[in-house]
Amino acid sequence: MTATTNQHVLLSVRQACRTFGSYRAVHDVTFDLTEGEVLGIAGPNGAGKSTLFNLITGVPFNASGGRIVYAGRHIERLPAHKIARLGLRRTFQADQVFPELTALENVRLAAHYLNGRRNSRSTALQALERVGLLHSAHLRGGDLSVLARKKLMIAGALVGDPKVLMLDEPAGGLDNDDQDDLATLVETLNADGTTFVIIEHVLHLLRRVANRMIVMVAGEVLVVGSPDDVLSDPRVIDAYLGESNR
Amino acid sequence: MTKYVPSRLIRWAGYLAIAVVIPYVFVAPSSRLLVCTALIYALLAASWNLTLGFGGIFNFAHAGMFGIGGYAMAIATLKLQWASIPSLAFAVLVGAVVGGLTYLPVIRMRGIYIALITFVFVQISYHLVLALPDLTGGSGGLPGVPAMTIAGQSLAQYGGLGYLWMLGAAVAVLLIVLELIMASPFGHSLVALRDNEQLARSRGVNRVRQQFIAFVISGAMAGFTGAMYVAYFRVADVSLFGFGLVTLGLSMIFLGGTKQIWGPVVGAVVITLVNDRLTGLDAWSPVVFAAGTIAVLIFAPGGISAALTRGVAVLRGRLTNSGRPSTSSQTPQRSVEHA
Repeated sequence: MTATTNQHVLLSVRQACRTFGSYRAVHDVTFDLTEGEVLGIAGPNGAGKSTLFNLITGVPFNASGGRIVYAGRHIERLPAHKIARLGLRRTFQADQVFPELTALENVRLAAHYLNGRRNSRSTALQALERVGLLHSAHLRGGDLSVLARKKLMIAGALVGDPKVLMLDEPAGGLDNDDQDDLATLVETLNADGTTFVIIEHVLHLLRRVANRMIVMVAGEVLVVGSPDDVLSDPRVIDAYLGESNR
Repeated sequence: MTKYVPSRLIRWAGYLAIAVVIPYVFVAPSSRLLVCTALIYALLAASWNLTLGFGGIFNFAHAGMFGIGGYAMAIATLKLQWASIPSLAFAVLVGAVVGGLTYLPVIRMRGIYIALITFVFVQISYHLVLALPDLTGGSGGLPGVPAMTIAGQSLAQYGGLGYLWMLGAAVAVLLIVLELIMASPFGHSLVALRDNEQLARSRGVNRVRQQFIAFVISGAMAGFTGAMYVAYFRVADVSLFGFGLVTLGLSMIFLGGTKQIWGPVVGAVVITLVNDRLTGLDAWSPVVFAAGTIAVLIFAPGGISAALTRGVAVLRGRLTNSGRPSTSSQTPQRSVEHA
């Protein structure tokens, strides 16, 4: 288990909604994220987990309704780049990097636009070092391994010590050793003060790193609680396996 | 770093050296005409590649800004009686302003929709020229644009020696400027927006701001190129907004390749030379170009520059490995450019 939490709410989501025509991808989602915690979000495919990330971070769209307050500021209508500059950062599913830029250029770009042009190189090198990619700084993003690309994505989000990192399925496509490596990185960064929200299908990873879990189904929050309680909840087992397989 | 900086400086010195040498290699008037034409097209294609190739934006408006720059030059010199350099600066300014204005209607658009809107802009420019004969000369255009003069010296004298130097230097400087742009965080942000817009935005890149700046720079460069075209050929007419120029520019970019900054310059030179050889084919000439461009897109999608780069890399690999015991496969690397 990672660092202990305190009661300072960094991110407050209230009745967040996102509709596409008549389809409600996310409906009435409410939760708080306290400083220092690792909040896991799980749920079957199509549950609205990534859509929830999208509407919080503003990329590629904002919420259709509800309120989202980050560090005391309403962000539900802010464009993505401004939300990121406030210190609420995210990664994406799969291993998305800028393939033609080197690892250093990938992170330096983020350092320049998120953290200001001064010292962007040293800031980028620092972020690469924190994720263990300093030795690959000169390699093109497209030439890195899957784990390295995922770490590079995290490094890009890490520049300038953001308060919150939102990771979207960071363990997808990784073997057990790489998943363990990634979990250790999350624990280390969390111990250094970074607060996390992690969407993940690899539930044992969430059980290891998360203080608290939310399970979403059909765009709504089904259960909130400790990982052990949530993962043994019959409603969660139904949601994943279907009632007939219990 | 220590390895990279000299190679960049050597390359830049090479560009400038070629610009200096060209007038001494091409002495005959006909060959100078051909080289000047190739250099003007090189300016057009290389600057167009900023938004089209590196930015991934289907920006057909570049051809329109080329024409507007040409007309700005003609109007400034003929109607306003301005000297060459202020007229050239005026054309650059008009190109930059129009470039920025052209981006406004496409702010929320992507891909083919940008192509359609920006192409419509070229068509509107064409019809505006015809609709404003008092200013533009209508279908007759504005002939008699004076030859460019710098410090009292006409660039047209000595068989266009001054134009050769000016255009050669302009291409060299443009390549260096483009290299500096693409090595900067701004250049990286254009590539990032092209390759993964969502990731770029989540890394603090403001898409609208960056692409607006790219359109302004693109417009300034196109305005300069159009002005040089008009100053060299001494006339501005509606052919500056013709479909032929658009297809010619695109052929140069794709034939030369979009990945390398100098790729479109190679494409411009090759197409100008081939075009000169194909003059006897009349109407078949565009057909040959179209077929050639399609062939390149199919068989060498990276264009001539990518093929050359690959060839040089293979050659270097063989030279490096010759006489050595075999080593493990090398991981592709880039130096810490621009760090």
